[in-house]
Amino acid sequence: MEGAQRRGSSSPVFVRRLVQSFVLSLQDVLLLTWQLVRALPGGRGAGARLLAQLDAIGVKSVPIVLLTGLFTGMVLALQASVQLAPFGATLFVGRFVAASMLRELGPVLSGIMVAGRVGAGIAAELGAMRVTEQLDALETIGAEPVRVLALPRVLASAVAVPILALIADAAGLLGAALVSTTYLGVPVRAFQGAAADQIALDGFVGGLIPADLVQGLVKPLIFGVILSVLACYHGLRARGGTAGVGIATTNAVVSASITILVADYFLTQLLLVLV
Amino acid sequence: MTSPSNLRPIVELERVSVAFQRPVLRDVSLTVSAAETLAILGESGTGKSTLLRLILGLLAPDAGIVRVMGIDVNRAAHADLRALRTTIGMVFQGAALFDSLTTFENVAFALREHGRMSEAQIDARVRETLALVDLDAAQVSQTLPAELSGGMRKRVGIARAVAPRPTLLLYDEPTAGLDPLTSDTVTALMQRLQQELRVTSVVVSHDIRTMLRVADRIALLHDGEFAFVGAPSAMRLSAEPYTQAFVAAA
Repeated sequence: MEGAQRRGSSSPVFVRRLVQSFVLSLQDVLLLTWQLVRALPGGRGAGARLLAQLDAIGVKSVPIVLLTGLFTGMVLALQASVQLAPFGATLFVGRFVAASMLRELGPVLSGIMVAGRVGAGIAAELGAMRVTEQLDALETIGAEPVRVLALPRVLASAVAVPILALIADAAGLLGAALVSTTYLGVPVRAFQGAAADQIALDGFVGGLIPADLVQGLVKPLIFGVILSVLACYHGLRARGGTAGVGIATTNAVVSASITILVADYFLTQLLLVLV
Repeated sequence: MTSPSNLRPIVELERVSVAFQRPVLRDVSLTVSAAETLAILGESGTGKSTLLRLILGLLAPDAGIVRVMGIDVNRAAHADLRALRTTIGMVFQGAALFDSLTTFENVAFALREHGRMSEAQIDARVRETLALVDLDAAQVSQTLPAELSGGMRKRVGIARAVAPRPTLLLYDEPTAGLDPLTSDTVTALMQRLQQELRVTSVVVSHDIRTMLRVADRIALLHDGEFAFVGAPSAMRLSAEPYTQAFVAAA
């Protein structure tokens, strides 16, 4: 009975602390974002730092995104064929895959894969720098860690993730085309035609740029910012030696992945109205 | 030796208090004059490194004022604090070298960041500074910190701190974790830098024997307050019980 009373009274306290902790973290993330905006354009050496991060975040993520996109497209083609075959509509596999890849899976999977690879790397690197006093060393030199370390990573991520999403889209369509033609017996031209029809059906922004492509670029741009800001946030505030670095890395990947999925829903709502 | 009393203070701590879970510093005041070497001694966890963080403006005191070269570091505008930090060098306990940069890039980092020198001038200054800390530039320039020994890392850390020729040099436990021979080398290096560069130094340490050799003045922290502030020779003669015990334990 007493135990039940204790549990009853502690639950609101637990929830209140959880909400407080979330609000404080959100405030800190927004503050970091504001500091990043103020740090633009990045000062002396900003170009070299950005190029180095574009290589680390963008170029080195190509293989993982390529493989993810390829196999996702192949699986989508198989699953679509199961659903479409009873209606004799296997020829429309291309439409199904094009819509899914360009609008959703390309951007979201790229965002999550990059959050896993790059977000963990950023948080671990900045966390290790924090616990070994390298960030303090930077500050004493007059080089703010947000400007020198976080800004190039966030900018590089914002540029690289949309390009990586396009690569994932292309790999997904290629994978789906391979399965469709070799396994499902769909002619290549039929697959291409169905995919093109789907893109045309969804319309063009300004009569020129496919709406699917706009969605497929806007989302990963925002996902890139989300994953890198959260990774920098967790890395910069790491505490407590190597254990703290591990915690920061885990938190960076988990928070970025969840935030990307939540943001995807609201972005989809918004883009469906706007585009 | 320069008489500290004739020179304006480079560092002024005025009734400074800091508490984390418990009080760390309680209403402490201290000044450091130009070209003076002040050693701050004390047991582990007495707030020695906290004092350095206060001087750098990395930590704000709960009460009191910290002035460096006349600037209140906690009320200074961001640009002023940044400019002030370009005149301060800091030697970290674990050297805190940037892992991903070579020795040359580490020493050149502040020079490039401050943006006042050409690449040719930076190259010359880095080689000169590495020579000053007894390192062969040709041998170590392209090595990464992970490839250096503890003593070499410490010397590169000192080189990085003195490369911009700071007005104030802060050392956090410069001899901690070094073998006796390397510790002597680093101590001799500190003395040589004081003589050659005439830089004001604040050295945080628990190594009383080394500090008695290098310091013009010693401040002994105990229980959040200074138990002793004065010349090394006076410390040995102090009647204050904790100071006596600290000297006797050395």
